[in-house]
Amino acid sequence: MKNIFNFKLYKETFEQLKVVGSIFTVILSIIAILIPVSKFLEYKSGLENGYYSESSKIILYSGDVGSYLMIAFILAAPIITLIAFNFLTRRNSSDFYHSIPHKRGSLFTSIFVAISSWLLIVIIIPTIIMNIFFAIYSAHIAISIFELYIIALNIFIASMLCSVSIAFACTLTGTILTNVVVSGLIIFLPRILIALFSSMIVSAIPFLLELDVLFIFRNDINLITATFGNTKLLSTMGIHTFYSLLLTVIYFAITLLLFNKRKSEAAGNGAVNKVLQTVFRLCIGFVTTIPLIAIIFDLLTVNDSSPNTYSLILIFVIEILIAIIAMFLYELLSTRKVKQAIKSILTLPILVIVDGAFIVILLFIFNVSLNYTPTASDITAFSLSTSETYYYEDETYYFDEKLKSTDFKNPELIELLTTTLTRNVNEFKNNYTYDMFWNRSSVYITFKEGSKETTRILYMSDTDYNKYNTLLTNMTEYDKIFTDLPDLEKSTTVISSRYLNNAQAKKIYAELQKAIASNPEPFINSVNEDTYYETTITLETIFNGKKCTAELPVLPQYQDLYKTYCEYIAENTEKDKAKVLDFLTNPDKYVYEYNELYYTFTALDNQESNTTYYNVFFSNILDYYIAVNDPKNYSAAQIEQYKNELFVPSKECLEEFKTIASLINNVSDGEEKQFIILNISASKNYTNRQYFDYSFGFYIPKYYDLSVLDSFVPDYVDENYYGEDDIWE
Amino acid sequence: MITTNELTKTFDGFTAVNNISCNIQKGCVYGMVGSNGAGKSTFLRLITGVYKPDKGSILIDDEPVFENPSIKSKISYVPDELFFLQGSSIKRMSDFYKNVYPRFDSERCKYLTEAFKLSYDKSIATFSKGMKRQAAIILALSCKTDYMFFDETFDGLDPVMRNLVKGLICQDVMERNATAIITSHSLRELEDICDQLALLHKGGLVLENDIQNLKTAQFKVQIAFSNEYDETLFTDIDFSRFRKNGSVSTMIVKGDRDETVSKLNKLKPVLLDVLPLTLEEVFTYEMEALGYNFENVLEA
Repeated sequence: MKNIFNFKLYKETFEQLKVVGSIFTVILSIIAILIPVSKFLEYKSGLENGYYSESSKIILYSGDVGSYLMIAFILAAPIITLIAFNFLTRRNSSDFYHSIPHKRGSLFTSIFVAISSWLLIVIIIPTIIMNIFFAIYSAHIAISIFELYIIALNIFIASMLCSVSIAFACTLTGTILTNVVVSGLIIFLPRILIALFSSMIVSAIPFLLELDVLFIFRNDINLITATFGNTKLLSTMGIHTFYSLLLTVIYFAITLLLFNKRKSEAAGNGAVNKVLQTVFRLCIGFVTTIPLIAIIFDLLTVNDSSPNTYSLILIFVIEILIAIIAMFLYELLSTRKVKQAIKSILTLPILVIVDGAFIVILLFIFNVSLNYTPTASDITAFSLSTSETYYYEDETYYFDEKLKSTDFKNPELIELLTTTLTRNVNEFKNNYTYDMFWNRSSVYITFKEGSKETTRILYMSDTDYNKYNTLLTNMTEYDKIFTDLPDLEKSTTVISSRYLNNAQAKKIYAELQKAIASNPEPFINSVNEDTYYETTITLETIFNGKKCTAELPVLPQYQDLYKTYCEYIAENTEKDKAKVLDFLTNPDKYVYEYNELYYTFTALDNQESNTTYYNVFFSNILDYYIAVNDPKNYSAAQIEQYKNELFVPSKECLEEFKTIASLINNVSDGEEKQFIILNISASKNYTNRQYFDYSFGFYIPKYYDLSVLDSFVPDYVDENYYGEDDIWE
Repeated sequence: MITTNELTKTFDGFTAVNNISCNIQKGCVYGMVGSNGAGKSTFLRLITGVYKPDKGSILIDDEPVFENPSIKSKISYVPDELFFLQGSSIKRMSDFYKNVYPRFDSERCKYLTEAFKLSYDKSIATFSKGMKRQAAIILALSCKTDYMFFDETFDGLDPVMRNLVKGLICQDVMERNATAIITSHSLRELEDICDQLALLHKGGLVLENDIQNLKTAQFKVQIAFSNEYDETLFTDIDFSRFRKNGSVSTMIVKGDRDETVSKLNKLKPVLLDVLPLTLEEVFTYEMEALGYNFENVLEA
């Protein structure tokens, strides 16, 4: 044990990192306190201003809230690791550490465990603090505490990966500059290359969704690179967690091995040996020539790009010059020897060979991917995908995930799909134009040949597409995807709804399952049509190890269930009745208080078709009001501008609101009625549209035609803001 | 005991240590001198286990030193270029050493710090060059190791401190039978403390001997004759550096002193003086014999 880890050395390194570790812990802890406190203050202020009620909660998404912890792997891990391994950059410190009575392996492991301990502290203490504060404010702020700890775990793994990558770089190099540069190369270069080259191939072949040669080509599996721009990934455990952990373990093992071999005399040198120095220099040169590789690849794969010989030569020369300068500068800065820097230019031919090799590899992958044209007999089954399931992996749609994991074996369909793919490929090969299929219907198919899976986008003629749809929807396996809903008793399944409380949502879900079992068709059609419904319940469940969600429509066709749903809405929104009625009966009192004011009437009782929305929108009212009443601060042009952009409520419109108010729940016995959800939202500034939001569900007589609201929307609103219709139907 | 056998270390084609074989006995103070770039520091780094030899072997108490914590725990090393933790005091460094060296004696460290009149709690970064070196020596001596290696340690120390350090090293050697290796450019610093001296040149071990032998094995002869003569007169004497100025000649003679005097007396000189050589002269002449001579530069 002493040979691989020494507690005293660990304790010593932990002590050395005390200052920097404590600074990051304090900074992150302050942020961890500020976030819940600021949200609570926001709630309090909203409560005072009437924007929130006592019973309402601010709902926070853990991925957004917890993303502050990314500081741990963006700043804390690199700084702590560079400090801990800084002794490798100077001869005196390197000799000192190599002279102490410890094996190199023990030295490395003890230091790395000390770094990891600090990273754990830097991450876990703020998480616990945030947990405590959210627990204190739990009556007013809703957030998944469990997910905060998942985020902490993911961030910790990302930090460890970052740290071990930097330790890896420090082991291979001997100066701070090369530590940093090579760390960057180790952390980012493989991912950048994979992302760039796979996007080059995918964009060159219109049938590809993503490069499926190897799973490591996926963009979302490395926690460090994937979480930039997709923080939601942090709140889930998945392949990104395990891949990053595996990569950390692999990097650790390699670094430990190399650290054992590292010579103390490497301190102060650019790299531990000349071969690695050349490799790093070539990597720098290679990065600068990526655009050249992309241009050449494009010329070789796309027929409709017209190469201009002169501009091509110019690009080539410029690229080579940039590569030479980059390699020269790297060599000069890392070795501080001009002669060596000049000599480094001699490795340019190797760079050209490396570039050439990459182009050959790209072309090989391009051809393999393009020439995938299986026959029907090759295919054992296929499954369906949508593009969304690929690009928003963290928000997997339940039915898409089920579609993806269901094997369809209909021979007729397989024949149709393989023939279509072969035809598509041949057409493309004859023309090599990427957008030649734009006017056709497309389907995302994963072909299965035993354990091998290949996903392609197929472009179909209308006839083929109709045939495909008919064959598909006639399959019982297909129907089952939509009708077999998960058991609510499972702890992984959660039901919620915008308008219902959890108990009500659960009841509706249980009834919905029964309704679908007895009459599945309306439900299957509605889910397939991808239409927005107001009366929905949200399903959250774990399927195939992924967190999946789906909005399940409660359709008017399921009359009793639908009626119950509407009654629940009416019951739950009753508390806002007085306020909403005030907005309707006295609209002129409010209308000049806000920049924007929306009245959205959602009529839910249409049993024949989709839900109908009537959206009446007033804008720039406050600006105009101020400008008109305080003209000295506004130019005539400004006032004119407001006037032109103003969506002003007409007197008739406001009168109509009053009429609606008078009809609310004023339905006599036996009279036909319709259920309406009225949502009123307003903002006083344009950056926060949800400044104010009230919902209210109620009945009015069936005879009242809400479409009368159409006439209150000026023509220019249609043209400028909503295209064809401001009032959506 | 330290035994090296054909020890070789090269850096980018430059051989810093070349085929050094030597035995350093326990309880001995071993001095190592040599010109700049002779390989003294590299030799110490090799026997400390900092460097791995490219060829040859190092055995300390019959065990290899590289990647051998049990042997390295018996070694304390004061390098030429010192290292202290960022912003650390002697107290902080003492804590570090205590975690690393099993026999580290904090009380001794405190005691020596006071003896050297250094601050125990003040940052070492604020110390002068000599004080930093003193701090490093204090820490090394507090490790109470069996082997202590000092690289150019007396550089930057004032004479009083030098004597104090020498005394402390001698004390450790005598009381604990410790072994010390000290490298220096200055023979004067070594001759009153070392039992053995070695001369390194261009990575190789040129000379290694007891200090007493070194001092007596060679001597300077001043001789004059009434008649004309030249160096051929002394064919049966092992001499070097023959210089004749008028009728008086000087030469460095190797061999038995009495026997040489007897031989020279037989030649009936009008003047014969036999003078002892300082160690510095011994090494200078050895170095000159190896071509390390810059007199011509000064003459030019």
